[in-house]
Amino acid sequence: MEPAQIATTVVWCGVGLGVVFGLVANRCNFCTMGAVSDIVNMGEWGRMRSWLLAIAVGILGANLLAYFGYLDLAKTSYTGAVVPWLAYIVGGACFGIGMTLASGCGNKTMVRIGSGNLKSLVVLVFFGIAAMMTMKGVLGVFRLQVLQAPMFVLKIEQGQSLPAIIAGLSGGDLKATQLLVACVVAMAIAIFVFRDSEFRQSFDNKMAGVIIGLVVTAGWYVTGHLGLGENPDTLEVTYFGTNSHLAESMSFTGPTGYFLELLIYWSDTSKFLSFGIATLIGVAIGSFIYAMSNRSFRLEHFSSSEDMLRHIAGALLMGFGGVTATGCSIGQGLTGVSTLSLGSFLALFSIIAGAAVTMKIQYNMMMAED
Amino acid sequence: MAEAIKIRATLNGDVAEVKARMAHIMETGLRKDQATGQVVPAHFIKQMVATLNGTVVVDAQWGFSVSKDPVVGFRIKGAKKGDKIAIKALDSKGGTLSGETSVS
Amino acid sequence: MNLLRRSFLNHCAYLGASALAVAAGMLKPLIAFAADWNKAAFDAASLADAMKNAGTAGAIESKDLLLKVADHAENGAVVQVEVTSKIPGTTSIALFVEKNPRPLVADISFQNGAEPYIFLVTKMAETSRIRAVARAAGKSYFAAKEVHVTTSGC
Repeated sequence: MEPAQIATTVVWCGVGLGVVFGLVANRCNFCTMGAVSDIVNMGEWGRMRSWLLAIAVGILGANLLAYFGYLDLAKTSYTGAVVPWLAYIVGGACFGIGMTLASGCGNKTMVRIGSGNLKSLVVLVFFGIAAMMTMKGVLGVFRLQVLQAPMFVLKIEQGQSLPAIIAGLSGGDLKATQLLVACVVAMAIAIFVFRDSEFRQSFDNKMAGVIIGLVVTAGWYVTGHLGLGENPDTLEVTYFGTNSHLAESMSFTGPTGYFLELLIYWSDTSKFLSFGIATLIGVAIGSFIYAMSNRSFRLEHFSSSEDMLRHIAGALLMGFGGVTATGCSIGQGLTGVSTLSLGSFLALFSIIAGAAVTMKIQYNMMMAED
Repeated sequence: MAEAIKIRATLNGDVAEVKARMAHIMETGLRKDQATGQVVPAHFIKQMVATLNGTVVVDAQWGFSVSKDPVVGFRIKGAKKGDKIAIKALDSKGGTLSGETSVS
Repeated sequence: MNLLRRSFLNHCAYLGASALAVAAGMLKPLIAFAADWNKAAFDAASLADAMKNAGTAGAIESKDLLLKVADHAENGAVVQVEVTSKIPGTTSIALFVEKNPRPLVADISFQNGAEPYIFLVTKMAETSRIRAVARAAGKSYFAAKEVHVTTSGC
C-alpha cells in the first residue's frame, strides 16, 4: 500500500470502529463511570462485569495478535521502559474524580453528545483544552517537572508489560509468555465475570463486553498491522495515521485534545485527522445513529449553576488526569490494560479509586441533606 | 566496522532523488545520564560523502545537532537507471558506516 | 638446531611483514574527504561566531534560497528541513539553528552534477530561527524562518 493510502485506511477504520463503539455503548448503556457508581450506590456489579469482560477479550485479542506477529506490543505508549508511577496514580485519581463530576468519561461524553446532551458538549470543550494544556501547555510543565520528576519514575529495562517482565526474569520466549499470561489473566477475569447468574442472563452487558473488547482488538490490528509502513520522507519504519506514531487502540483523552487542536490549527500542514480523532468522532456518530433510530435524541441543558460548575470542574480534572496518566478509563483502563502493562493496571485502579471516593462523598452529602 | 545505510534512489526525469537513513545515536556530549549523573560523551557522525559511480557528488560535514538516526536527501542531475549511489560516513570515534544502491 | 632457527626466523619475518601491512592499511585514509572537519565552526556557541568560522559572515538575504520547514515542530528532536538554492553557481549550503547550543548543524558541498538541494532532519533545543546559507561565486546568501517547538505530548 502507498503511504498515503495506509494513513487513509487507518483513519477510515477508526471512524468505523468508533461508530460500532458508540452504537453499542449507547444501546447497552456501557459506561465505566456507571460501572463504579452502580457498585457504590446500589451494590450492583453488572456493568463492572461488562467492563471486565471487555478487558478480558481485549487482553486475549491483543496478545493473540502479538503472538501471530500482527502487533509489536513494545511499540505502544503503554509498554515502555519508563514508569512514571506518581503520574499514573495522581492522573488516574484526578480522572476518576473528574469523570464522576462530569457525568461520564471521554467515551461517555461523546455518546451523550450523540444523544443530544449539550452539557457533554461543554464538557468536551473544557476536557480538550485541559488535555492540551497538560500535553504541551502550562499544566504540561508542571506534569513533566513535578509529577514526572526523575525520583518519581521507575525504569524497567524490558518494558513494563507483565509478560515482558516475566520473560526478562525467567529468560523465556517473549511471544510464548505473552500468550500464556494473557490466557491465564483473561481466563481468571472471565471466570469471575460469568460466575454471576444475573450477568449470565444480561444480554446487554454480555454483548457490550464482547463487542467492545473486539473493537479494542480491531483497533490494535488496524494501527499496528495495517498501519505499519516505511515513511517515504525519513525511510523510518513507522506507524501511519496515529498521533503517537505508535500502535494505538481506543483512547479518548489525547484524541479530544488533538481534535480541538486540529480544528484550531487546520492550516498547519503538520496537523492531521488521526486514528484517535476519527474514533472520537465515530463514537458520537454511532451514538447519534442509535439515538435517532429509537427516537431517544433529546437536547439537554444544565439544571443549575452548580450543575454547570460541577461539570466544568470535572472536565478540567479529566483533561489533566487523562493526559497525566497516559490514558483515561478506556485508554488505560481498557486499551492499556490489554497490553498487560503494569502502569495501566496502576492507572486503572487509581481511576476507579478516585471515582469511588467521589461517589461515596456525593452519596453521603446527599444522605446528609435529608 | 561498516554498518548499513538504508538508501532509496529513484529517477525523476534525469535527476536521481536520493534519500538515505543511517543508524546512529548522534550523542551531543551535552546530555547528563539521569541514573549516574555523568555527562554522556559525544558520539556523532562528523563527515559523510556520497558518490555516483565512484565520483564524489556530495561532501558533507555534520555537527551533533543532526537528529538521531540521521536522514539526508539530495538530488543528482544526469543520473541514469542502474547507476551506483554509495554513501560512506565517519563518526567522532572513528567508526564508519556505508551503504550503496542502484538508481531505479 | 639450524632448522629450528630458520623456522623461527621465518615466523618472525612473517609477523613483521603482516604488522607492516596492517600499519600501512591503517595509515591509508578509509574515506577521502575534501577537507578536515571544521571544528572552529561546529564548536562555536553563537550564531555570529559559527557564521564567521564557517566563512559565511556578511551573508545577504536572498529570495532565491528556498527554506522549507514547518512553522510548528511536532517534536523538537526531529525537525525536517529542506533547502533548495536557485542562486546560480551555488557550490555549498550550510544550515544553522540559531538557538541551539552549537548553531552550525551541517555544511554540505555539491559537485559533479549534485543539485544545490539538501534534505536534513535536525534537533532543535527550543523555538528558534533556522537559517540556511548558500555559497555561490565567492558570496554568501541566507534565508531564515522561525520554527516553534513545544514539548511532545503523551
